[in-house]
Amino acid sequence: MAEVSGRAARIQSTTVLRILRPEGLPVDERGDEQLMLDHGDGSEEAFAELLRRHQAGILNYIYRMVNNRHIAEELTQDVFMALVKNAHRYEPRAKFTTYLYTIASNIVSKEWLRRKRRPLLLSLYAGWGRGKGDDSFDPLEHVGDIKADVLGTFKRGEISEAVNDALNELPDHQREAFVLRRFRDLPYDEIAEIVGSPVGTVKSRVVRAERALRPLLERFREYL
Amino acid sequence: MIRHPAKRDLLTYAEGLIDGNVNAAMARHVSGCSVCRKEVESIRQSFELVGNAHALKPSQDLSRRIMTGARAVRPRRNRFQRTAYRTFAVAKGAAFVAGLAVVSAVWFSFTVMGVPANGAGHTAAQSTNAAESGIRMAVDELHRATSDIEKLAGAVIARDQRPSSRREWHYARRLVNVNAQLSAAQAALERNPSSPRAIHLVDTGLRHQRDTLMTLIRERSL
Ligand SMILES: [Zn+2]
Repeated sequence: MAEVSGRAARIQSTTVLRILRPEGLPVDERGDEQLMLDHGDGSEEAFAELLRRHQAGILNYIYRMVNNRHIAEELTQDVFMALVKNAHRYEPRAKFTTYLYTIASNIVSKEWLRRKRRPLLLSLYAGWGRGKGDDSFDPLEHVGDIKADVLGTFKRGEISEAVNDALNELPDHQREAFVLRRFRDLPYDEIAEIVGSPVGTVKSRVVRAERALRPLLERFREYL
Repeated sequence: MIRHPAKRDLLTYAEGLIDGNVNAAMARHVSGCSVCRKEVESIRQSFELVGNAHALKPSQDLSRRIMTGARAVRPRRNRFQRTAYRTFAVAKGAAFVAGLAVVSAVWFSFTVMGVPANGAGHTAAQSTNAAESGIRMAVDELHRATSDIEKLAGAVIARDQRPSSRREWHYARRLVNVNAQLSAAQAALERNPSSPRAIHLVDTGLRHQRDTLMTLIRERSL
């Protein structure tokens, strides 16, 4: 029985979702998984919609992980290219966001490995990240923000940099779990799937990261 | 003297990671102790602070670069291949949907009721044998259903129409909903392959799916 049910589940996961694609639904009403299947069939508008929905999330996740806007943009591009290259093999087994952030997490890990092999570059990147180079916060870039008071924007920019500096002090795994939880608001079980660790481990990483970050962020409390 | 919980425990509490009795005890203490209440509030404020930290906006240039890159990379099927592929996929899908409904109905009656659908009064050993032959029958049935419906769906859906009437839109939407329920049931089934509840959900989901599909196909062929 278990064998039959296992096989039935396998057959179903590979084919049933395909047939149910309501090709006529407008792209913004289709689910992510649906869009990914349509994209695999060559739909450019499906890909454009996925990009519209998820590029800011991915960009900010990577930015918090590598602390440099330019590198974050490069890696965001890599994530979406990986999506394109694998579209024809995509099967909606997990939530699309889990799939997407797993790709992003792998790309970030590769970036970290690369940095560790080249310590000289690492120190250069770190210098950029401290606000002197391309990542320094430019309020003019954010005139169109919803809460567009310049002072508030400055403060949020300042907090943002302080958060990044504080994140730099964390071990890689704690940092990743913390960023996915606090910035991307993902549930613990999804984070566990993305980083490939048990849920309990992920929870303790987040709590440890929070413990380490609190004193560093204390001085910004007045802005709340 | 009052014993306050350790700061690290308050943090774990604020994050909502403490369960059951310990959590209840913690909540009682925090609500009655102004020192700890302030500490928990301050922890929650730090969470909020981090969550509100300014987010980058993707530049126009980034989106354009990605779209250009995607066009260059995408292995595009040509028009003919795409139509053929879609028709095939749809036909194959329809066949499996119907076939699976048959299989799951049989297998549901065995696993949940413990007796084959067309008989009663067997011993346990007889039931097992009956179950096995039932599955073989179901697989044969699946093959038959597969080839029948492949022909049918292939003929009807080859025109690759979009939903045009309100009714068709309604069915398309229903399919999306049934599909979401099915994925949930499927996930449950993968976690626990012998769960009668999951099997039941898949079974019902497949029936709904088939009914909706049949209606959709019928309306389009008229
Ligand atoms: Zn207390």
